[in-house]
Amino acid sequence: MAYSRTVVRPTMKWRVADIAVASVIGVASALIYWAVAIATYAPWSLLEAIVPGLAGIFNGLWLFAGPLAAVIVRKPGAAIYAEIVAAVLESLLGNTWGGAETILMGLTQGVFAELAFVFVFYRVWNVGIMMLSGALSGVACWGYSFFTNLQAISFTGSYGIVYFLTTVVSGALIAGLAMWYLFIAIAKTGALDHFASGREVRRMH
Amino acid sequence: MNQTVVRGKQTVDDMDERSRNAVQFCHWGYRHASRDQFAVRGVDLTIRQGEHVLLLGASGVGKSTMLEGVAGLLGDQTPSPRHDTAAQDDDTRTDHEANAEDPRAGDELVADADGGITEGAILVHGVPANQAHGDVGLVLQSPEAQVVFQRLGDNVAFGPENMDVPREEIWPRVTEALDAVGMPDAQLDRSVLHLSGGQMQRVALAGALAMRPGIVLLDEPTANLDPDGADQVVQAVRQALRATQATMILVEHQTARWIDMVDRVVVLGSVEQGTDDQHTVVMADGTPEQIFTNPDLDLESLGVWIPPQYRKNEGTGILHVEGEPAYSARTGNGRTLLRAEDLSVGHGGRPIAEHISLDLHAGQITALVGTNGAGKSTLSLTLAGLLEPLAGQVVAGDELAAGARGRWPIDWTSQQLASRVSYVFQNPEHQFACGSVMEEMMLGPVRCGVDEDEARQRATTLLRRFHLERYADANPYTLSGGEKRRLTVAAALAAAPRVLILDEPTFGQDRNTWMQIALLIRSLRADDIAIVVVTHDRALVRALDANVVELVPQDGVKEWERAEEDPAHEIAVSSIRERYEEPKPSSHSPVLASMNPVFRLIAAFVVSLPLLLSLDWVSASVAVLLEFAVLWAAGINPLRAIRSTWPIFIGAPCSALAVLLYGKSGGATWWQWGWIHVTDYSALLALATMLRIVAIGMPAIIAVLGIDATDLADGFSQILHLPDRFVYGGLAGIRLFSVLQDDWASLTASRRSRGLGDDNKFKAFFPQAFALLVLSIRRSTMLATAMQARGFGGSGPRSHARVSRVHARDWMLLVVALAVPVIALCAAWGAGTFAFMGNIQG
Repeated sequence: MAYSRTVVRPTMKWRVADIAVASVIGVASALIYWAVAIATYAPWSLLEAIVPGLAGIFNGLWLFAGPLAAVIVRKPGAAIYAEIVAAVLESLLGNTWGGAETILMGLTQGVFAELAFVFVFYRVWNVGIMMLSGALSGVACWGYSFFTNLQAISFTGSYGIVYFLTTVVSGALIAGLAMWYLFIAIAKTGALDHFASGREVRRMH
Repeated sequence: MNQTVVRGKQTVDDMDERSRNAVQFCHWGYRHASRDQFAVRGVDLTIRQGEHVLLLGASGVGKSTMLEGVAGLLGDQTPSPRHDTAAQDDDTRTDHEANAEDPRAGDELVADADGGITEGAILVHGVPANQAHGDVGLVLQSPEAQVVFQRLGDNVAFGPENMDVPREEIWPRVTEALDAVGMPDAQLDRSVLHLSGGQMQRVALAGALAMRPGIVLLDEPTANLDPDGADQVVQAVRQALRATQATMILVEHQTARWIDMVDRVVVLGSVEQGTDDQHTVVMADGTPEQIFTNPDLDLESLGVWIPPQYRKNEGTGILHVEGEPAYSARTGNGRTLLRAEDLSVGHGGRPIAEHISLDLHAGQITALVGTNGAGKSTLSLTLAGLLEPLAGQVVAGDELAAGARGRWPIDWTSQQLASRVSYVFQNPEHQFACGSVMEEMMLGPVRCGVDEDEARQRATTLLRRFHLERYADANPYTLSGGEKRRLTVAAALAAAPRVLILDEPTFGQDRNTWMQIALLIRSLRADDIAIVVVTHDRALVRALDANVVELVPQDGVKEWERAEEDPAHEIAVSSIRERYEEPKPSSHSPVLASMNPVFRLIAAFVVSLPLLLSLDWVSASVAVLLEFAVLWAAGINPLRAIRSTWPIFIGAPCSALAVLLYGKSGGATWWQWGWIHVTDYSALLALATMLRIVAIGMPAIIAVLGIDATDLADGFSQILHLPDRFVYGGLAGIRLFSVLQDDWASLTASRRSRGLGDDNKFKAFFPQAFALLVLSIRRSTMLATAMQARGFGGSGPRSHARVSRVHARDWMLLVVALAVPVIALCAAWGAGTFAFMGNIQG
């Protein structure tokens, strides 16, 4: 009855548990995004008044679903899927950003967040890759704004650059760095024992 | 049902032999992820077709794991060649002893993607359990955790869909299954949100029966229900078994209700074998008569409640503990700690119960009882100072109010509250706030101003008293269910409150844990505490000898009869549920509501995205005007349109301001200061930006606002042909939104109750968001189990019970949607204001 006979079959195929957790992370994120939208309403205007574009530092709070789902599930498309579920839910609830447009935002941010993991063929999972993912998601967030509502502002001007830097840094720190440690904290609760990612953390700590 | 499992090679004789064995455990074992010990190991057991088996055994012996194994939820989900060969070999033998010696069936340990390890095999009608989806219907303990979709009927239709049953056969099956569980008139499109626990559990059973399984597995299906709900479920199972002749395997601690439909009882135990391996063995196997009258079996020590007809003593009487005060638990010592005066309670201004007057005395135990949904929790949260009274008041007595801000608990700070009134939530995970058990214990006292050393000492004493001292450094989330519950009670007590309110403390516990909790509650009387227990557990009320307060719905029947001298009283509450729900239209516009949701979504893009081509005031204002006109024609007047989309009317001027100050410049300069550069062009662009945000945002919001998520998912699957696994997985996740909202409210309340509520919002947000995420992941794991139990997730084809229909009017919608930006852009072209992506050529 030796454990050497244990057969392990690693797989990139999504299990039902993977789908469920990615979709529920999307849903919980939508709830948190909504709370964040209310909470940052006043400070947003304040920061804009101090330094134009500085309010971008809040943007990471709307970008975390993708990297978080990806690092837990570790299957191709997890970041995109979680962002889309969150966006579809938000658009159906209405009264948030832009109805159907939210889905496009979610899609762009999810695709960019996913890119980081594609670059390393879903083999490397560490804080660096997470920060890259968050930062890329920030790039998408910034780019989307200038492609749509802020077309009239030159994205290479001072406003555009400040907004770019703050959004990307916010993405890297909140959606990347903070999500990495959040993932480890969640794994320590045992909630992720059904996932290879969670078991790895529990083995190491 | 056996025909679904027959393979080409088999002969009729084999099939007969097989079909008599409904379930065969062949030296089967399973070790869950991150566990050192197997939950079940080396079990050999055969259950024949048509048998109704009750599985008994102590908590942790692995009964639920065995049911999950039979349901095919454990181990690899993809059929492997190894399983096939094992099954072929088994054709020649039916004796499970032989399988035990088969190295392929017994020795090989197979790891799966869940991180678990399987050994041996489970055969369901001769086929490995993982491949027998649809032949096994599983009903789990928690009714809420088994709901997958919003609408009642969809939950029942889900199993047949996953088995690719043709659409025209699905709905008759749904009706038949609901019939079988005693809900023949159930409204198929009503929301499951307002069903009682008993109804929800019957819907779950119907969902299993609609798959027409040969085997029904029941895992403590009544443990979370009130007595009325439990009776409904037992009755439904009885009817269904009679109608279908199915085999039943039941796991249940409370056996009394079930015993007359059980014909075989199997008692499981575990024994040391060889080195340090625990093996699961059948300790006894026979008819209920044989098992319950066997003097060698101490079933009570296994956590089993013996059915009354086999009981030697009179069951649990009043519990007594050492050092308890002499006065009765029903009255306490007469000193009032907390009093409700003409109190009305409810959520969102709508009263559930009114004119409640109630006194809570030191040393008294009050049991708050009543059917599910009668408002027990609402009343107790109001008493605990966590919910604002709608009318009347909750007043603290002198003793309790001393040192606090006024006499009303709702006005106290979180710290003042934590050291006076504590609330223990039904779900322990609503309560955890720290990374270790010790921190969790010290949180309350430290928050209430006790110095660290004393807090640690107090925590250590309590942990010892609650038998939790060895977990001091463990993460609270990793404890077992019973341990978590004890920890939440201990942590609440650490702050030394004078009033302790416990919500369903014995929910789903086996007899041993139950006994521990009951003794614990009794022992608290010695601390001069007033205790309130919200419960529907009659045995608990009896054992505690509690003062019973029942909430009775207007149209409901009083459930708790009592002796006349009993001081118990009843509180009238408003009727709980309406019987019929009007389906909610999916848009304020009847025209939009009649459109296919996918076309509505596409129309939202078609109408808005082309407008991005030009940023100029002409195209934007023409688009806005056209949109108002089109929406009005569709039944949404401009006022309603603005009201439904108000955030963009705030957002648009903000963006316009940014453009005005920092936008692309050109023409005459109006004002320059630092980075600010207001010019002719930036002003023009600001106006265009504001109008265009409205032109894009308004239709994009209104087109999709109110779309039913289920209808949209059907469209994604049938019109856009997106993969069902992801579409319906996402849909099931979205259903949890309202559940997570409730979780958030509970987390907020529990943090106030624990003394964390005074922190500023920003500081409090992150720990609470963390707790929500952990909860949501737990819920997703349960959701995955519920979906897989209905056969979801396989790679085979899937049918659809509902049709996503496309009509000519849907295409018309797209034409109209496209016309708006085309006309607007042409107008800009004609007027010479067209500016590609906001680049005005000066």
